[in-house]
Amino acid sequence: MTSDAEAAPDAAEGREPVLSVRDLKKYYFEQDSFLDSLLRRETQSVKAVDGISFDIQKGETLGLVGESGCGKSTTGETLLRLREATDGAIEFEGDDVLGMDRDELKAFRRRAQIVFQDPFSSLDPRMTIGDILVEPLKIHDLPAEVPSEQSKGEVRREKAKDYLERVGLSAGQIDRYPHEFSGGQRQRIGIARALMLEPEFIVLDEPVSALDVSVQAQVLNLLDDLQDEFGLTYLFIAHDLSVVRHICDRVAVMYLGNIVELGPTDDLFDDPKHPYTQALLDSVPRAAVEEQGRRVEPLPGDVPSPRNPPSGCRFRTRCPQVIPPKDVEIDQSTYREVMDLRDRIESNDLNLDTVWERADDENRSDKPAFKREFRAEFFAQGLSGENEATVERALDALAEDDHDRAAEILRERFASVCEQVRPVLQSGSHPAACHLYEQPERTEMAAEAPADD
Amino acid sequence: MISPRTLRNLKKELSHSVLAKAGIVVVVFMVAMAIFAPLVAPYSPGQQNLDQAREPPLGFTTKETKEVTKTENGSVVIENGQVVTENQTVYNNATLAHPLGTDGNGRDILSRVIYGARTSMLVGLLGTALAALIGVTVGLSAGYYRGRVDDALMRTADIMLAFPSLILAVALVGVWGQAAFRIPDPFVATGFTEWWRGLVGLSAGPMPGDIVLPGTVIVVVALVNWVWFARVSRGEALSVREEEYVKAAKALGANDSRVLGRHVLPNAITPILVLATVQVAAIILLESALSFLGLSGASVSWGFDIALGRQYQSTSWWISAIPGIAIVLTVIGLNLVGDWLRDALDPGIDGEGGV
Amino acid sequence: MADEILKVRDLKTRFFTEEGQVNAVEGVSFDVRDGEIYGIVGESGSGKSVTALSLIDLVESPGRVTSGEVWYRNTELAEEFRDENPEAVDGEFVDVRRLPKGVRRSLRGPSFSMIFQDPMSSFNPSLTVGEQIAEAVEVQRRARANPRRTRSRTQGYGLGKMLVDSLVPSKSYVQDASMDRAVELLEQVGIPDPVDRADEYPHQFSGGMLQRAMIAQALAGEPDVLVADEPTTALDVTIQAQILNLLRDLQRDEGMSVVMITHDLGVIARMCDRVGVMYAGEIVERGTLEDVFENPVHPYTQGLLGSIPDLADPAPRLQPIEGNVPSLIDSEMGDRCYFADRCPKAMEDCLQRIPEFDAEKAGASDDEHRVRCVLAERQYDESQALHDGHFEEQEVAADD
Repeated sequence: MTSDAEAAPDAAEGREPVLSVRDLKKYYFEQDSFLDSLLRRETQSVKAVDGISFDIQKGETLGLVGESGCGKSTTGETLLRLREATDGAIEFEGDDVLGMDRDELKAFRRRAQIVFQDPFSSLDPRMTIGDILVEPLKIHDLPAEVPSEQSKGEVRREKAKDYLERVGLSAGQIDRYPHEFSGGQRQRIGIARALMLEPEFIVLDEPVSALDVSVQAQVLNLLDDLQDEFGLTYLFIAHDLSVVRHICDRVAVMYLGNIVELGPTDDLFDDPKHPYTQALLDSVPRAAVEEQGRRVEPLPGDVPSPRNPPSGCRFRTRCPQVIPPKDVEIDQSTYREVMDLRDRIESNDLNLDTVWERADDENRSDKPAFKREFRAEFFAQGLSGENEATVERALDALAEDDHDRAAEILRERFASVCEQVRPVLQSGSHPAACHLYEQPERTEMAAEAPADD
Repeated sequence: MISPRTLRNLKKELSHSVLAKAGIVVVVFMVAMAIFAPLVAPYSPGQQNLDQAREPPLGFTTKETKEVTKTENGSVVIENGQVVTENQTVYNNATLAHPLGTDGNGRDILSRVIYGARTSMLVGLLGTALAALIGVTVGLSAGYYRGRVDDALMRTADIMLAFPSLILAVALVGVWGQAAFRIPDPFVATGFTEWWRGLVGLSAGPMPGDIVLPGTVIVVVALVNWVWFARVSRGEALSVREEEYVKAAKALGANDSRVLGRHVLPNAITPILVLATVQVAAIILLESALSFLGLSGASVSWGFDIALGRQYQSTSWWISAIPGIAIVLTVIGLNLVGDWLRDALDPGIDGEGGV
Repeated sequence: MADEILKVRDLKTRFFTEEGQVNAVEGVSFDVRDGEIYGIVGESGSGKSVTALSLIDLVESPGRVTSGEVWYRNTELAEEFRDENPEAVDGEFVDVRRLPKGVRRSLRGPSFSMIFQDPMSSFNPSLTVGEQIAEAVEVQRRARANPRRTRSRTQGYGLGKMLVDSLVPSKSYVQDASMDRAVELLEQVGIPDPVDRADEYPHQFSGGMLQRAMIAQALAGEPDVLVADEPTTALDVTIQAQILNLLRDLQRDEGMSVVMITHDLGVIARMCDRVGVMYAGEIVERGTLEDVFENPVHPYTQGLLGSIPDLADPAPRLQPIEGNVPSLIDSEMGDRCYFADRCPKAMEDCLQRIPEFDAEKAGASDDEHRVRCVLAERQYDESQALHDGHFEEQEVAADD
């Protein structure tokens, strides 16, 4: 893995981070059961989170954005040890979270809480609101001391009522069941539950994405107010960039298990550095008249599977700015075509039957026809010079059905720094993990070790 | 644990369904019979009266050809130094004294069915309880912890399922014998029975002083049937553990036993309850099969009585048929109750939906 | 100005549930023009999806379209029914709801087509994507070949035929020509390697690819109107951008009209020419996009626009609408403006049913800007304002 993972980017100098994460990894293992080992099936790893580092300062809101499957929710849950990390380090106010034993972990739970996305599944349908809010106090046997004239149960219930009102519901609703509330109200109850233990830090895992816009705005305002009132620190996980811009102080953008860019919200939104962030921001439809008819250049294709992520930069298979080798002169769209072709050859995803069919040659001997058809299908523009010659040789190999050699020929000339070296976040206030920006010297960094898997 | 809404659903579903009502009536009737057996049975189930053997139930008459000593004018006819016999048709009439007839030894079938209900209900309920205890513990842990625990427990369960349950049960009884425990019958021991029977004018014959608890059978049926509970509760645990309130509870610092007991079990209970009602029926059937084979250890049991009646099948069908009907009624009744619970509890749990 | 292809008038759809009658669509009227994308925006429970289903006659029990008219421009049908059923014909338009059931069904495909939010559940997991699209093509091909027969109950695909097909493997329901057309359609919606992908099953497709496939299926009948119900809600923004581009390209190339139903005002802004805002089963405001977004008259529209954080220009604090979306149960709705209980400008006049007003007096530039709010006719008058808690008191009174 990258050697300088210790040097995490840090926005605010001189302030002690509440939480600091270093090179956190969370892999899931598939086909890992007894039966699978009996059948000697190979264990497959899904790299949900693959080496991320960041700090959260006291009182700030750090946004973690990305599309589905990028590992943002897994990150949130791993931070609180709701899932066990595969590797890395998490420090919460100087305490090593991953090394905590049972009692320490329980104490940690009082200081770090989570609010979930789904207001319908996050409340136990068989408990009243009162039971739900009192449960955290029961678990931790709080409060430790009560005034003599009141029982513990009464004190807890009073506190539950108090918090119910603080999140904008009425104390009289305490004996109702969750199904009697709307989505927005349930989300408020979920927030109240997280607050009952008076934590310092809350992971907000898509807290408003299941809500309607009018209700979403209420909850966002509530979260804002509570942060001021209790001096909370938030990790705000979301896929909605508008919401993130509204509520976050700093933002980390995730793609396929990596943080690709991290910076203060305004910097990042006004001057996105990473091509992925740029594309993401460009894709978001704004609710404004200027948006009408705006045509965005969308990223091509889909997010690759985290089972078998691309080497080097995870984003290179969709990136509109892949860096060709220094000595190769080629325009970006043609380079993209070459790279796509090579990716498909290497992943065994290339079916030559249809090309031969179009070449109208059942014996597969008419190479010129095959190459002509192939170019028509894969290349929009012609190539020239050395590029042309290389592609020509690769197509010859393909015509002979020698996929390995074709890939080899293409790799030799067109291999990009983006596929060889995984870019890392540098220090500074607004780093991007991209080869377009300053990266450590090639010599210091081992090309990605094959033993990684 | 039962919320007012659940109760409402139960009532609503009940008012809609005639079958559910019928099921409840049958089950309540059978359970009441089992509990109050010494108070309602006309006779002791063991009381024999060979003179009144094989009396048919009310409404039936049987005709029987018997070889009897021939008499003329009150004296036995003797020809050639031998007592002369002749074939005579005898009519066995039902009597009010034995409304469901008597068996081959002249024991009152009604009383035997009432006492048989005790055995069946005891085995059915205790066996189900034990099976549920084992199965739910195993299933919830397997589903909640996943991984190796899950693998090991559920593969064991699969192997158990692959065995024909009756053969397994027979084998287990064979190995462990037919241990039966005797518990003093509270009604008899307190003398209440005698007083009551005198009061309502039932025959005062000594009722059996003990309830026979066929211990081996209970353990065996539980060991044969826990797998169903394990599978159902594992499935429920698997889905409930993914609910965010379970994650939330963990995030609040709840330990596993709290999460399992406070969140997973209550939310998994509905299908387990439904399964339990159906399992009571299945276990009653299994118990009947075992006692039919003479393996139960209880001397009064529906299955046992069916076996007893087998030798009289051609002439006295009721000896087998009446306990058989009792089994069928109970099983159907329990299944109807199970259907009712399933319909009433399933859709309303989350209270979502609507338009 | 382009002609209307669809004129919806006072459409009402009710659901008859155990909890009572639910007024999911409550007198909705709007026009869709040739080759435009008409947007319907609303929050969950506003009745926007049911409106979509009502348009193409797909409301299922316990729901029913109870009244209203759906005028659809189709010269052929107009000629056919002019004598037979004069009520159902008005010039070039026919009222779809007054046509016989078989005819209504035959309109699905060549006239109206629909795509849904969740492509995964819209495909049969046990058939290849190609087969399913080819089947849609085949249905249309047969319908064209034999229009009369298609209007009979079986749509040319009866039980007997199905049995024969399953027994005689070579006699596939789908002809090769239809399969080729399916591949063409897949190519048209931008699926790479359409020949290979046609033979794959839905689970082998990603969400975005499957949404493209569903669009291909909807295009099989070359519809006049494509109803898209939250077509990008389940997708990530980068994939959403692809699908939105695709929809607009197709709409231009095919000359279709699209009814775009979504909760996302951003999607509406990017895609639509004109828009209707739904709340509690009603269209509370409709007009051109500029007009509705720049000069919203209805306090709900204003509130909705104030609730969304803007990506480019973040406001320090959002201005949400207080309260929650109301239930649509008939007995609880009452005779008043349905938004009055959440409205910051509710007045005594709002305690009656509000008709649609022209918004001209409120300064709208567009003469087709209509609003269901008294503020379209008069200024807000504080002296007539309903005091805070007016509706809570009513509720308490009703509870007693």
